[in-house]
Amino acid sequence: MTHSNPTRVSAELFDGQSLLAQPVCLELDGEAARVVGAEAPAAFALSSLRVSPRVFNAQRFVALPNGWELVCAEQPALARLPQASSSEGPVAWLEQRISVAVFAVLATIAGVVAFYFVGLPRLADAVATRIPPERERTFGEGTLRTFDTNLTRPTSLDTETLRQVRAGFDDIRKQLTPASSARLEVRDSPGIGPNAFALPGGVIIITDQLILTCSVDESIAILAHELGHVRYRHALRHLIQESGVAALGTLVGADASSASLSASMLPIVIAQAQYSQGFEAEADAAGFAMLRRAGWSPALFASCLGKIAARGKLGDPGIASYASSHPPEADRIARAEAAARGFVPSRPPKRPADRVEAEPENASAPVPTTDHE
Amino acid sequence: MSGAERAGSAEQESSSGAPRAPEVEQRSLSLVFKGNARDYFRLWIVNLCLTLFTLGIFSAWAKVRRKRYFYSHTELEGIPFEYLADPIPILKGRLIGVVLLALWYAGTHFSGPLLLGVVVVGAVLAPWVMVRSAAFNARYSAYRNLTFHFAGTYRGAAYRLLEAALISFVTCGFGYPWALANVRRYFVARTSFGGVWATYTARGGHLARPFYTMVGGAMLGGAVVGAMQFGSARLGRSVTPTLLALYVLYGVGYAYFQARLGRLNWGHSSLGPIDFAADFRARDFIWLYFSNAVAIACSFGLLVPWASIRMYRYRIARLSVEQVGSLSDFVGESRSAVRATGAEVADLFDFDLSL
Repeated sequence: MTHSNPTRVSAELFDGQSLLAQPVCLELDGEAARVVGAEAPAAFALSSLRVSPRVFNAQRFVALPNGWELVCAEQPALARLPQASSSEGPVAWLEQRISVAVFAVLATIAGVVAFYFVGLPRLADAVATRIPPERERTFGEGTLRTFDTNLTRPTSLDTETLRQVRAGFDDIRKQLTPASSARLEVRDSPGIGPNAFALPGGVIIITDQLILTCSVDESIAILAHELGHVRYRHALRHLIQESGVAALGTLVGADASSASLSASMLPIVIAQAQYSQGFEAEADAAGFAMLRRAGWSPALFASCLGKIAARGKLGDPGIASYASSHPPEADRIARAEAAARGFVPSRPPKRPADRVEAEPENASAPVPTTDHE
Repeated sequence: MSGAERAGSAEQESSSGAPRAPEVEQRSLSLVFKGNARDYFRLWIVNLCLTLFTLGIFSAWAKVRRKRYFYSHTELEGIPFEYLADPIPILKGRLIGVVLLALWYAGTHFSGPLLLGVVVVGAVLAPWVMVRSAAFNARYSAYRNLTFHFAGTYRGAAYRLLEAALISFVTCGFGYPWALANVRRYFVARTSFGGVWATYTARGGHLARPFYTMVGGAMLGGAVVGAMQFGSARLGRSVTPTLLALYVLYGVGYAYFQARLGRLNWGHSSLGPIDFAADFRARDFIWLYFSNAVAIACSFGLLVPWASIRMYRYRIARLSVEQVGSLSDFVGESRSAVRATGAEVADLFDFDLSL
């Protein structure tokens, strides 16, 4: 018998040989630990025991050096035992505190926001500058092939229209510094509708539908915008940022995958769309500058957007009309008009003057191709 | 406090009804989940925050904490399950996984030949990864001081996976239930607990019904949605309802198949004198999956822990464990011996790639 009062912990003993539980009592007495009540009582040095990390108020496990294990309720006395895991104790301590939870929520939100608005764009810039343009071009060509097999047909426009579009495109392309090897591809695609895309490596696709919906000159304003994307390598940066957001989403949502559908990815989609809007604004500004330097009025861009938006409201089919993938068109039209204010265009050359301030209502005219030839 | 008391009282109940009377031939074992969303939220947010600020390194520790939470709060006959894994092998597995994923991503976006290489390497590694992860998970899962064990081999798993791929390919996917059943049988039948091997009796024919129902439903629904899309294109309406309909269709099909598959898998699994039955209902799964998805999307992810707990609680509540024979069949090598073998393997090949 000892002189001091031992701390008693009631527990179930499992000997590692069978599933049978033996109700026992673990007595902690100074540096000694005794298991009392088992078929064969045993004594150990306290330092040879290992208690499993705390998990809130769940029962805990005490490993004994002879292969036995005790299962007991969570209680303060267990803090006296040596811990089985040195790293988990501090984490369990953090989990206990509401203040830590509140702080962690705020820190996580701050971290995600900083990563999203600062870290990832910078990372994308750094990565993009390290990817050689040839590599980027092969990737763009691959995307073009995907377009051609699934979505687009060769253009059905007459050669004169094509010549004018190409001449205007080259006009703008010369404004790019450093000189760009950007290339124009005209494609017919009723499915896509009036739209234009800047693929990685400077491949630009414009649809017949866009050229027909707007005028040749207005199409050139759209191409200036697409060349703005090329100037900043937006397609590549977008890809990198998108993967960054996806990686972040995986980190946050990994737990969700077994408990819900992938609707949890909705915030990711929204986050990625947000990046697109930033890029659009950047490409708009670059496009307006190039248009002005080449002698074209940015107002062409405004009138073209207006026509496409009006066409969209008239109920034309087409999942990705130019206006819908480039959302706040009213703002962009206003900015284009601001950029055109006081500017005296020297282009387009030797063609009937377009009505630069075309009202959106004009777009409902059934044949919008009257303004060339 | 109250949690500790509850745990304590459950323990006392169990000690009176614990399986120490081998003459009991058939009875239900009590299986309860004692976790709650409030506690799990705190664990989850600490995990997430530390993972973000350590650029993912902490995720290995996070996994251990998460597994420990669910194991420790799942009590069979009053005694919780125990998760014994160390974070370091998990970290190793995750580093390998990240490298593979990055290569895969680079391959899909930038380089055809690289992609081909990644696919080949992935196909060769897949059986190994599956076997190592199953072995890892089994070795570090314990109950009443006895551990699980997985005895699958690379060659066996590779053979089953190749066979599954061939069956699916030759039958244009219609043989998928048979392929699935074969792979599953291999992995269940090579798992043991306390020296008793698990069995899996489901055949392809059992899994075929839910699979064909899902495929048929998807085709029918797809046709309806396709007609809707055609109509809306004609009328010049937005395509958003079509996309929404496709999403709902996918969700219903997925949830239905998960529920039926879980039910069949548990119902055809047993561990010596222990039988399992899972009364999962498809409509419950559909409801849980959809409501969880909405909650997660609307809370920008903050309700992820709540959704996880909700789903897990449902699964445990619907899972029953029946004892149909004597439990004295379960015997263990002593824990220390198991730990020694565990540590030996841990040096080189011990890693875990599962989520």
